[in-house]
Amino acid sequence: MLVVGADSAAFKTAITESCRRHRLHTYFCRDPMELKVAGDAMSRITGLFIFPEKMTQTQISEMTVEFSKRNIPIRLFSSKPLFRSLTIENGKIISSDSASAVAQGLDELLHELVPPSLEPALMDDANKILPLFLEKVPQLKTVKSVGFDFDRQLNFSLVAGNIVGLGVFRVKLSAIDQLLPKDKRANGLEHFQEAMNQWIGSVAARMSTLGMNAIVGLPTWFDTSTIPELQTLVYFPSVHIVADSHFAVSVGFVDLTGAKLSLEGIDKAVK
Amino acid sequence: MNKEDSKVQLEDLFEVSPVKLQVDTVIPFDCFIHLKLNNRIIWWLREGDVFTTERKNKLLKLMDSNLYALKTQQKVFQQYSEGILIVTGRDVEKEEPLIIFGGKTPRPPKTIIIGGSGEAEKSDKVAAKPRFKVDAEFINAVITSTIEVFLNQFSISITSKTPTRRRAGAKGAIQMDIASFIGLTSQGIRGTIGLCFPTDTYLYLLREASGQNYRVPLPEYCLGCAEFMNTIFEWARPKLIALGYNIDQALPILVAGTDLPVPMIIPDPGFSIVFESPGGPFQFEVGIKTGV
Repeated sequence: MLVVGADSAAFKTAITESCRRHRLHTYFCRDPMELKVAGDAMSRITGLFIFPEKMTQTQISEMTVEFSKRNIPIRLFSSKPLFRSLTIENGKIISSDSASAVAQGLDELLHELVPPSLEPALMDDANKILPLFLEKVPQLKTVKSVGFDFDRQLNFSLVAGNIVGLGVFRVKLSAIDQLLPKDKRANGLEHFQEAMNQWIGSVAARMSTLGMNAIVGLPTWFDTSTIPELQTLVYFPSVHIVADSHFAVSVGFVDLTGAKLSLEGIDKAVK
Repeated sequence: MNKEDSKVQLEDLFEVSPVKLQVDTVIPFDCFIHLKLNNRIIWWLREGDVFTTERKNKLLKLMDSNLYALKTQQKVFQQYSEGILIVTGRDVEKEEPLIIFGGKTPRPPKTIIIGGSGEAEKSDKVAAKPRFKVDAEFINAVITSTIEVFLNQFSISITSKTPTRRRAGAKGAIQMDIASFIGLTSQGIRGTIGLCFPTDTYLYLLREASGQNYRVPLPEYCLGCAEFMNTIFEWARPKLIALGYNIDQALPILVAGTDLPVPMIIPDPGFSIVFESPGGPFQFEVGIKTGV
């Protein structure tokens, strides 16, 4: 995420907090020209927020063109109406300066990056796999972001050539007693791990039917009570699924070449 | 290493047509000069502009500042980004002017990737025999890559101690506070590698690498740890592939906290490599699930 010109304290706070909710790094640029030639940072930029304080229409247009070329989505915020003739390819203009507008703009921007077919594929697999492992399957629903109040986190990497995926399972320890069969509770986390292994594995199998030879990496457990912050070098546009308040699963992908990922047809792929 | 050696190595890795940029010629592509760790743009050369003497002198001055990794003998500063490869350097002995190489795409390693990820790639050399076990050559490639990255990219001289076997669940002698991890996948090898730093060592390396005065490990500063890891991984991977370890691409995960439970994060046995930097020790952990 890259932010330009947010030298208003309120805007800066709003964007920082919104990004933190998505575990997303922010870069604040002081100078629009600095952004225009953002070099290899481009490959790490998820989206662009512009608060065009003291910027001319030409400056804004030049900047947005650079990012449109790279298919990086843009949001242009302004507390007052901007230049009438200004249009942004690959972006939207939002005339509001409230924190909620910033948060909503960020949510929408990140949602644009998620392949639409990923969510139904994940839900379909969850409905098939979770009943095999859980005594009681909580209601699953997709959300825009996942909170921080979990006890353990399990990360799976997934790689298919230039496409790298990240599966994150976050769970509260109380879920072991509440969701698992009695005979599985002693090794509850291992049981959850196997469930996630199969869930992620089924995603990999779907990718294989699309011609992507996906390999799932080793799962890694993190105790989020001792390691509160887990970050990734790049932002993975993810589908987030929560199971009441017991656990949450996030699965996202990036294309290392910088191309926009579609995963079209993954929801219809037959395992 | 002389200039010609340097060219050969670079052309071996990237599909480039070397361009020697001379004064009063047109700049063939955009060139960005920035700090590696925080991506702060310092200066740039715009495609189509004339490469004037003033521009040349400014660029050389920037490169000679301690913000860049230019203190090695070949003085090479390498950056690959979005279809543009820029390698700038100057011949130390002859004080030759700037050399810039430009290219569009990295050349696939000159090996045939069998199975694993992606299609088999065309090759003009015989592929190395695929390897399915982590051995001394794997460890040596990791060690040399780590040393080369810190020396060539960040101008920090480090040394390595003899690698030691790490047992499953065993805690290291050094307290680690900032670390980044990558899940290794290939046809036969699955494991995790980790680059782990005590806070003081990390802040020293970050200061040296970026030229910024970092004193406290704020979360946003810790991102540099993942950048270190990513750079080492990207540096080592072509070497490993050339040796027959067809390691897949991956991205690091970054964790920060006091006295990280590294044995829990990398539970598998493998190797520990302690590196000594002028700012203190740090450790590279290799945990292997399959492929030992």
